[in-house]
Amino acid sequence: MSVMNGFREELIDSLSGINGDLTIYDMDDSKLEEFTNKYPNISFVKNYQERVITSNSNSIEGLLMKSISQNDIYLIPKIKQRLFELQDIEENWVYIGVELAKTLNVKVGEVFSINIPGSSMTILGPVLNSYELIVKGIFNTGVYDYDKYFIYSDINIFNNINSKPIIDVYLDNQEFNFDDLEDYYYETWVDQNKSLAQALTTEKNVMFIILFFIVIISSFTIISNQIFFIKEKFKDIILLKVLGVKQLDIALLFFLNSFIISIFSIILGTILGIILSTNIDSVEKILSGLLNFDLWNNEIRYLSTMPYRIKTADITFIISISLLATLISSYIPILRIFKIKPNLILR
Amino acid sequence: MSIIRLTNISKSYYSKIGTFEVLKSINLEIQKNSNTFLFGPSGCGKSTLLNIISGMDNPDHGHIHFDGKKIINHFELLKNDIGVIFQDHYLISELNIIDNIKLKSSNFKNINEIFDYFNINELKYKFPNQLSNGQKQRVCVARALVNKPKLLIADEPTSYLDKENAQLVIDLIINSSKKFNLSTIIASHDLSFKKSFDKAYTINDKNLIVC
Repeated sequence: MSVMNGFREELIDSLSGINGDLTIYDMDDSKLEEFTNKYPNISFVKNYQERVITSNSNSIEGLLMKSISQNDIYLIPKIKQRLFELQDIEENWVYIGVELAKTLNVKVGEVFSINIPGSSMTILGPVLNSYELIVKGIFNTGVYDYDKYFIYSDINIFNNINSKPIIDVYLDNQEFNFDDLEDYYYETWVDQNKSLAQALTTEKNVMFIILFFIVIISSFTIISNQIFFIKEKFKDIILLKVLGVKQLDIALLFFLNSFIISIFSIILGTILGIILSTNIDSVEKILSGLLNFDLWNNEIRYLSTMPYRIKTADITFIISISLLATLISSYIPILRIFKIKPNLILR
Repeated sequence: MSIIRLTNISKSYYSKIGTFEVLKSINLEIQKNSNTFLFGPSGCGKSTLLNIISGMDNPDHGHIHFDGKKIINHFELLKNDIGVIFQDHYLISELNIIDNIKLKSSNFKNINEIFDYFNINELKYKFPNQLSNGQKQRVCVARALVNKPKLLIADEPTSYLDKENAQLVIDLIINSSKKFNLSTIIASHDLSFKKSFDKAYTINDKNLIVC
């Protein structure tokens, strides 16, 4: 559950921290200035987007290039978080992700070539316009796709490629009146990642169903152990009854025996769960090594490392369900004790 | 004055293959401080009768009076007034001897008195699997008597003992009954013990007969 929560929150945080909480598609500069003045604590990043191709002797990659102004790069939360850059490059710059830098073996300060499909067509397809940019910085968002397929370039070079600018809005938990956008076409990060958002919701529901079944199976184990234990102690139960011990006291003895063991298991399980969650990366590495199988493939999982987020509410919920299941499964078998007749001892 | 009085007791067992009547209109009166011997072959109904007397089973018909009162609460009888000794030496294997005795009574004065009387002080902290069959049965007799019941019921208490140890246990029970002023009912298929008792009965064709 902690890994799922961590994955969910980290992914949402990354998605909104790179592309913005919402994207406005058709806003002119005057209106943008008006919005910037109205919401001074919210970041509005104007950019042009273009599909480009880059290649060198190592690889050929298709990329999404966002052209923005130099200062706006520091308004993108996930980019500014982990950014290594050179200060003295003022123009013709490009920021690339760490995964792309690794693939192409490019370092800061080196030349980075891109090809943009032009409007002129030839018999072989569109003409490619080549540009040579200098890598000013390398960012590491922690999201594999963004670190490999997103680049940020100087808006002064590419502002005429696409006539319509896009505004990425980073709310940073500030109040925003969405009624102000009723004249504009915009999408939230959920709209932009509908399938992903649905998958996350489904994942959470499925996890709860799986958890429920695990608790049910555990309950059956407790019940079967308790029945086995009562059968094993059949003669002792009869003896206690014959010695005048109250049936309720005998039942309570067996109930407490099962319940205390279960409580101990729940405490131990919770502690182990928290320890494993907080060391999930080490656990993943050990298991991957033992199984010789990559358990956390960052190309599939989006995120470079396995995240976790321990939520007190989730832990309380799971403990409550386990306690309830333990109570029920410890109680059901002891009903058999009331059916055992003491006269079976004299035969 | 009788300690227990059975009036018109009948008992049948019901199963899919039919009804088996075991006891038919049994009448029995056992006097206080008397020792009663119940003998007969296996399956004649001795254990059924002892179950009914001790309150561990209910008769189909008839009434039981204990110490002049009609039995209402069997649990209280088993707890305070009736001691039972079984054919097997039923001791809880996870508990030592003193803890097994404490299941019946937690009165330390009584416990110490019973340990001294039965001369089993050295067994106090031993576990049942460290005892011989004879020692186990002595502990079982001690446990049955620790809370000083008014009636002691024993069902085949000597069946797992050799002749010498069997006679020792019977003597121990008889002597204890005198020491603690209680009545005893002992069931056995061995007729040789009959001479130690005040009265003897057998069950023949579902009826109780004085021997």
